[in-house]
Amino acid sequence: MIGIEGFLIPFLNLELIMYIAAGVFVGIYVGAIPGLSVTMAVSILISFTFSWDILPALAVMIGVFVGGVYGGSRSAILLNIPGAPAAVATAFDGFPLAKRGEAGIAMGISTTESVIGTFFGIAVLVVASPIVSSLALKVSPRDYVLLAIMGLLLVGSLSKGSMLKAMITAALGIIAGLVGMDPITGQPRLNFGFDGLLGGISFIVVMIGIFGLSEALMQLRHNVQPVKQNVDKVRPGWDVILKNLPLTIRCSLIGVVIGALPGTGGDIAALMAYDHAKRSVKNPSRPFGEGAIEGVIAPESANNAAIGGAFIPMMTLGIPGDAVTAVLIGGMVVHGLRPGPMLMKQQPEFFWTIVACLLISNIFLYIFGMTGIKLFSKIVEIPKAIITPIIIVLSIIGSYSISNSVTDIYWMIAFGILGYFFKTYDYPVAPMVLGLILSPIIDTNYRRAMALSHNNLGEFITGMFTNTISVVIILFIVVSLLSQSKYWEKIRSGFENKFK
Amino acid sequence: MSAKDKEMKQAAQSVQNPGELYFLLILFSVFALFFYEASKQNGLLQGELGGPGVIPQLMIGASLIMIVLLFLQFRKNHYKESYINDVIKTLFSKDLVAILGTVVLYALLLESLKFILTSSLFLFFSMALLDRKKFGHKLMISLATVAMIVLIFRYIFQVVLP
Amino acid sequence: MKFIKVIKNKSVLLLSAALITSLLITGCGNKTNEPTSEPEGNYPSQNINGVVAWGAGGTTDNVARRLQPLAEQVLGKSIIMSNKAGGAGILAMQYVNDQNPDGYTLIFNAETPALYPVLGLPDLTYDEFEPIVLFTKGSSVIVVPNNSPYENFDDLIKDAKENPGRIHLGISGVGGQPYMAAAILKNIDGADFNLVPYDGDSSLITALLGNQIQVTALSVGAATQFIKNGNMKALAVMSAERNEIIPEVPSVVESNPEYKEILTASGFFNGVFVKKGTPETAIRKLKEAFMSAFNDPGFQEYAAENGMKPLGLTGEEAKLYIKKWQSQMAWLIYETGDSKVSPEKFGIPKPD
Repeated sequence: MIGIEGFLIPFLNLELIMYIAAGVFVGIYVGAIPGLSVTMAVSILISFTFSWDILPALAVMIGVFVGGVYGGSRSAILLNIPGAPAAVATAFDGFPLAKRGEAGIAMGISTTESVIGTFFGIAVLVVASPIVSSLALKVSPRDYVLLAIMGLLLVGSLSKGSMLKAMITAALGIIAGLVGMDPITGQPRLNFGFDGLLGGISFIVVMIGIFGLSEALMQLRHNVQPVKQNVDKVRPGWDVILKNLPLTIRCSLIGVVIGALPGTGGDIAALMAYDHAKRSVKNPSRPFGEGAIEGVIAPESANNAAIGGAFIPMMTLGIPGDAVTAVLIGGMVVHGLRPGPMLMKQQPEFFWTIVACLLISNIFLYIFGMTGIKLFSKIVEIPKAIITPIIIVLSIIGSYSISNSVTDIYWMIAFGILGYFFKTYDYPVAPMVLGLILSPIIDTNYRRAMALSHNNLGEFITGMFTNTISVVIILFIVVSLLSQSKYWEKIRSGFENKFK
Repeated sequence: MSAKDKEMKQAAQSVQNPGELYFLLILFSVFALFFYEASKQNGLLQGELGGPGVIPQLMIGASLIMIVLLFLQFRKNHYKESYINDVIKTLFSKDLVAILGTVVLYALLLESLKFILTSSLFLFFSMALLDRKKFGHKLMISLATVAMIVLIFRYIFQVVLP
Repeated sequence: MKFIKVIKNKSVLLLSAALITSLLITGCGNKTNEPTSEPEGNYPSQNINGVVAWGAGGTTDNVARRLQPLAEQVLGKSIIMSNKAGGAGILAMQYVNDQNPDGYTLIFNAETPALYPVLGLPDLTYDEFEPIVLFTKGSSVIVVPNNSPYENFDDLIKDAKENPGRIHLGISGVGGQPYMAAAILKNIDGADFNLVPYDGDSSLITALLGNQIQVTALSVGAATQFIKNGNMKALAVMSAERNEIIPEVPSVVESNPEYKEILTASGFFNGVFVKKGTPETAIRKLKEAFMSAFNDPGFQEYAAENGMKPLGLTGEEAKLYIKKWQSQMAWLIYETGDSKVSPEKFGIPKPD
């Protein structure tokens, strides 16, 4: 393997190692605070590190990336407020675990799984980059639409309440995501004539409101008391890890694939992985949604594996796999390096150096992730009278800091109240978040697919059946939905009778 | 899904919370408003397949249908709506309303009184509201929190605060 | 309960009290980023907000971030950068327009706003802004996948003429560089393509390499590595002469001399602007800072490496450049039928 000497550079350079450590540490805490996003942090870092050499700059940025994706799970578990979109799914079972006094265990497993997931992502990056990236190129806009629909149908069909309610919230998410200026024609859409809405409703603001504020309101209403945390057994035992290894690997795979698709990242990966876990784990340690450890393993391994996945198109083609890699590419260009096939050819050491940085980041992730868990678990024990107002202030500041606007704060409050109603009436919130994330993907890709079919409905529909990837996705959707319905039982028992 | 999950799903579908029908009505009106707004864009209603209005019209239209279906499901399970009093009692508690009020006040005053003052006031008042003791303690915590936030957001991350 | 005990600890309380008081004092001094009028010669007295109208990692963003630290050295204060992408730059324009014209909010944008009126977007063109410096002029190169049946530019035009509206040409959105390139091709050569919207160089590259579109126009800087590596074939550059970093690629003028006029007057530019009404002192200082940044050999090298032509235009020269671009392109779009609104309505003169 040419250029592999690049791999050794970070390992032999203490300064670089320190930078990576600093990056991971900062990343974890940036990720943990709702309202501070990893993308924002990396953007700031580009200006900050402009005068540095490329390697230390990259080292810090990669560290922040790895730390940040994991960090969101901290507040997700402790406060039911995901610090980053990638941690939305972690809260589903992570927070119930905290409510049972097992926040320490939740954080311990989330750290371990994140580390395993990152390793998996790195492994695929090293071994299969060219194959994965050429496959990623074949995914057409139509396939993206089908994938998005698949995601929504799957997540909706498994929700606790009725599927109708889930679909309604999902649709609301999609619609909310469409408010604002249409990126293709530049025309205002769904904004009721308000210029202020032309920028749309920021996704993070909605997330903070729907998760953060609504949770605070729910706790106020139902007078939830803090639970004493049991922090003896924080590090998960080998038995737990091994028992769930197949699940971890499957979810990491989901993570890498989704991360490698340009335009989709860890947040979608985590939700899909969680859904997959729900479907495939027949006897979870506890029912999903009430503190099943599998419900933390799935999203955490997936969203970290997506990091490695996102680097695949970035390094091989210079195309970002997700939002953070887009900023990283910009960062590299500013230093005079353009990621892509030329860089791989002319300076292959870079690829290996980045791989090494990812590995070292992962090691520090474990170190920093495991330390402080005991201290952090105590946060859940703080009396509600004190922690609730603090959470509210953080939510407000987080929303404000996205685009320096007080209007965003009002939006956050509005969605907080909406989220409160949703939670009271058993409307699942997860589909709404997924709908919001997928909204631009569905809309733009649908219109691209239409344009590619020369705006001809016939061409559009036949295209779905002539393209291998599209057919596979459609089959997948059909099978998954069928397996939920009553007919499946009939078919299955029919089969069993035949083969008895 | 496991048997336990299916059971839970069944159970969840037959519980009704007071105010659910009212909420459904509100949802319907909101979606109807959106549909009106979406009809202004070029989409399916105008016969265009690739326009900006297609997905909005499709989604909103589908949602309206789903809300109606949900309503029918409620009828099938013989839901009866409770009185407004019950609804209010279920949804709101004194603490909740008080805090909500202070939050809105916070947002309104933020621009004029600036961050440090408004946040400290908000923190102190809401903490005191929820637990009427140890005021000095709470004052210290409020100020310390605000200090930490200013440190982290303004100086380290260079984020502008109001 | 360690946490509560920690708070109860008196010394911690005292420490926090000291910390808070000091922060409050300094905080009050430097309270807002909303400066009011200030005496002459004091600009800049605090940090400046730099808003980039396009996404992180794009050309405008890269140029802006390259220049920012260099300009900071002259200004003596930090420029805090943020990206406000969306609506072909209109969101950022509106945001900056909403701020006070005091020189503390800058916008880094490209050539698109000049065309907003004919594109049906709100009429917030550069008429409401004061250009500080126009940095570089970029050019596009027409590229096709490496397995494309087109060997040169003429092949492409011939096929487009025979099959109007059938060939997929990827654009980055209404008013973007590929869109303008397509409009120019339609106007001069009568080549009509099926425009498929993507959202920037990256997604266009993905679509082209994946053979979902048959042709697009990419910025030279983004396309070069793929051309040199053989993933893409470059058919022609959309400029009057060949581009230095891909000299083997012919210019469209070589296929059809009629292109020359449109491509000489002006081109895709990017620069830094402030809202009209900003005090002269601020404008002068900013000009000084950004010209110095522009002239930095490191930046010049970066521009050359990415196939950009340095402009360095300020003041009246800059305004003239923008006006020329506006009049040529607005009328071109109107004539090809892509705009329903006549530029006349907005007082845009016909190009001479």
